[in-house]
Amino acid sequence: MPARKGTAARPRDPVPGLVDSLLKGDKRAAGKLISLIEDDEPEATEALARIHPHTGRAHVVGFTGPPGVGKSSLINRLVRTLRGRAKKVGVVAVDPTSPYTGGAVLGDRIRMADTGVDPGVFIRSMATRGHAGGLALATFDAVRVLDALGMDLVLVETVGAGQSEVEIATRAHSTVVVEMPMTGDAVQTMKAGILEIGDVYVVNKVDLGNADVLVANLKFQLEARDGWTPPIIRTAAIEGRGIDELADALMRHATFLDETGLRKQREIARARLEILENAQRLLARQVEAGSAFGKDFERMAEDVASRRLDPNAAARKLLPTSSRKPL
Amino acid sequence: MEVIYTGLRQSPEDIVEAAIQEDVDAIGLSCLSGAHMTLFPEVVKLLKKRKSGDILVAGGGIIPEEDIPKLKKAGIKVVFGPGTPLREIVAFFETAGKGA
Amino acid sequence: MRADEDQKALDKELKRWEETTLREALKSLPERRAEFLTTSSRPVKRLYTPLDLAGKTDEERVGKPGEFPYTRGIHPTMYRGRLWTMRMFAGFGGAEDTNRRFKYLSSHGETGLSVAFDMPTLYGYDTDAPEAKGEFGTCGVAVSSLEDMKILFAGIDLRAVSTSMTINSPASAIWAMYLAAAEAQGAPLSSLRGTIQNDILKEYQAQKEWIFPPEPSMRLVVDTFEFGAKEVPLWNTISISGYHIREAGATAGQELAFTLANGMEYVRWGIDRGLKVDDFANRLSFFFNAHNDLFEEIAKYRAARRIWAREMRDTFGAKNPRSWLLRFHAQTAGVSLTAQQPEVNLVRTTVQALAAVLGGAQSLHTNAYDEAYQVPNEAAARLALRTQQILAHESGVPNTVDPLGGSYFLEALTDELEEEAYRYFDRIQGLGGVIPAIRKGFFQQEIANSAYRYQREIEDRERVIVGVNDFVVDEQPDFEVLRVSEASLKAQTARLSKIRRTRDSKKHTAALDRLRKACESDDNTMPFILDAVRAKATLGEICDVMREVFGAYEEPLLY
Repeated sequence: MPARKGTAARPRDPVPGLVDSLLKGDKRAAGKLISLIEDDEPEATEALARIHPHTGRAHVVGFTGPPGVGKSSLINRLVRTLRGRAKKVGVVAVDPTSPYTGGAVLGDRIRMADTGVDPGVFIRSMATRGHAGGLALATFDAVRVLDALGMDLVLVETVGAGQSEVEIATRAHSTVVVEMPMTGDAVQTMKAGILEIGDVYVVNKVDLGNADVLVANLKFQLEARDGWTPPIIRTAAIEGRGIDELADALMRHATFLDETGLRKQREIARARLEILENAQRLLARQVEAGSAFGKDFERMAEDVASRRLDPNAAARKLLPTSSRKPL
Repeated sequence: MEVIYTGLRQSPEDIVEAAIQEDVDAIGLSCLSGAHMTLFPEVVKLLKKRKSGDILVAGGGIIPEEDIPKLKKAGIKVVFGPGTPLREIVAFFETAGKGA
Repeated sequence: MRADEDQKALDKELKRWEETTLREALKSLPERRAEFLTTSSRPVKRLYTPLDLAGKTDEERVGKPGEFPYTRGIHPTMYRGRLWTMRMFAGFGGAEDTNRRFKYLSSHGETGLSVAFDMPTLYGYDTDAPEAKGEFGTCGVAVSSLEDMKILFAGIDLRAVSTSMTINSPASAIWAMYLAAAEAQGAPLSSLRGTIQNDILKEYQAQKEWIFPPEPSMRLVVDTFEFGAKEVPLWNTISISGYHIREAGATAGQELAFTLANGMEYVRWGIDRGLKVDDFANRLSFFFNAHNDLFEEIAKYRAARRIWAREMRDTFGAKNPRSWLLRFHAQTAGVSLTAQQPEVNLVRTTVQALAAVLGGAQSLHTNAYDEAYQVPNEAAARLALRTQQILAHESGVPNTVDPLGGSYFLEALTDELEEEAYRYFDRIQGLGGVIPAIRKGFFQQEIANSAYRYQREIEDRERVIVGVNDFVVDEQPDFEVLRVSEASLKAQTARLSKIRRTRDSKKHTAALDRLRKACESDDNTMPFILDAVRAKATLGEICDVMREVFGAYEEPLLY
């Protein structure tokens, strides 16, 4: 039961040394670098700058789907299959934070335990507690660390709720949407937008309920995008069925991205997002760093509330002088 | 605080690997079978081998009083024997991350 | 009409008492607390009267001992005819060490054997497997081969004793070793008496010593039912165990409900296999916890007998009255033992053992006072056995059948527990049955919630535990620490490697191949396991074949 604090605790190692070790394949350095990113430490910026030139090798696969659909088990099996094909695999599993204590019990490790000691595997759990730069930023910065560590594939598991589903699709090279058949009389419904984001669809737990209905439904509704028709794979992750087919589908998609030039397009789209996010974060930092921030902020809040000032004007006042033009 | 639960029946290798990848501050081990004298020191040894001796190791379970000094000597920071209140254990981990 | 009037009169009389005598008393001496709770946090009333038993006749509810619904006991004379079996759970180190402990306990008056296995054995690994590191003989005896089993029972006539073995996921392999060891002694299988625990469902719910997923595991269990009914007719092929459910933190009501729900699940699987219910139901036995709360525990056993008799007769259509009997072993609550002032555990255990005897147990294990720390040392184990002997020979409790029958409190509590059990049966059914409920984590969550509540009650001092949160002394416990010897480990490892070196490898491989095929087919696996054991296959090798075919279980995750 290892425990990890959310705040800076132990003395941090100097970044250049950590990055050097990372590039030599040192897992401890990878673990520490991800912590820097996760905790949004100032050194993270330097670390990521040093890491960036060494990334871009790994194929990043995002997994999304409702809680309980079996994503962790599926990823565990997929890791084993990919290892069988001599691929090094990183996993970033995003676990929900307990709404009660602000702490988190991250349990995905259990379902992936049997692949954890393999030297060609690196699994990292991340809690969804508040990151200044948003969940996606920290997650995909962690992906970058695993990319630089030399992983051939990095699998990202999301909580499958809210924004994260759409976010993952904008950043991963391949997005896998996992669904399961409903049991009993429940009517199978799919979340809005889910049909637009997947590159591969998985119907897991095919031994439960009526998988045929779900598969037929998906087939009927899915359309080709950019010349790629998302395949629908039936799996039973616990028994390990369908995992080879899933691995094949992902490999086919990777090849497709390369051959069509779509990989480059996706990378550029992601870069746009990330530049903007970083800009937002930097601005927020600059604003916070202003010494009179607290006092100004309180005063302005009162002014806005009593209609002496509008919120946009207040925001501009907080920004560094050079950014104060109306937006 | 975040707790990475690794599940039951983990080998020392599993535990150390998880601790490194998750970059934890502390490891809590529980053993009720009587194998603590072998397994707890093994975890410490493997951590050192992986240059991760700075990660705290705490142990608990069915552990006779006379084993505790030996475990501490082997690098187990703290041992929670039978009857330890939950609060005491939680308090230890709360301070463990604060550079203790 | 007449009953109604009686009822009214009783009610009036109770009200009078409450308004006069009681009110006066409460004025001068208020009660110690607002609410009194059992160990399972069940509220207990101030006073129980015939009014609490209204609505049912005594005959329906309680009946006579040895008759349906067996509330008062499964036998008409109970302990006047034969005392319960004093069966002490024992095992540590290698087979030689435990064999010596068996003989020691027998020489001090133990009347049945009970084997505790070590962790690797419980998980189906041999002593020399990497998974077994550090675990040899620490919490039970290591048995990796037929050779070990023969040594474990050397000098003990297996026709004359009854042996209980606490083994679950690899139960069929260990049982096969016992049967082969008996064969080697010249004992016919039909003469063997004993029990294998073989209760896999509670492993997923509470004890967590599983290997394979539920479905193949249940198939292995039913294989033993079928094989036992034909070949080893006096053997109890399962001991459906609430003990571990309770130890994991369940309440008495949960223990009762989950155990009986599991029991009925086994019956369903047996019937689905095509077995006639009366052909195997009389070999189903039970195992309950004996916890601190005297009356709640007694009520639990009585409710269990009544529910089982009714379900077996009415739901499963068993015709033979022997199929209706819930026969059970009891063990005092290990979880109640304290590390602080360990000698006080002797007193706790005595009260718990009394509950089991007043509840009509067929067999009993009393924990030793040092078990919060270790497998008991010899002296502590003997004291524990003496506790039973005092109850049997000095307390006078066994002189009459069900001495507490008719107690307003006890009968009301029995009814309450019975109702709680049926409420749980409905919930389990609502989740699709026992195995789907396991996969959804239902039992696990219910138990965890109860365990957490109990621990909180102790730490908040809402519940007094002597020596733990009250009446505390500052002294180190003093007892002899039992250590497993390095020599035993060496002997065991040497024996294993010699077996692997010297056995007929062709015969051995062929037997394991046949076992693999049997596992892949619908054939009963027992004969093939027995053949593999005879061909000197080890426990780990047999379980490896099954692991290959059946896969491993993955636990649902709970927060």
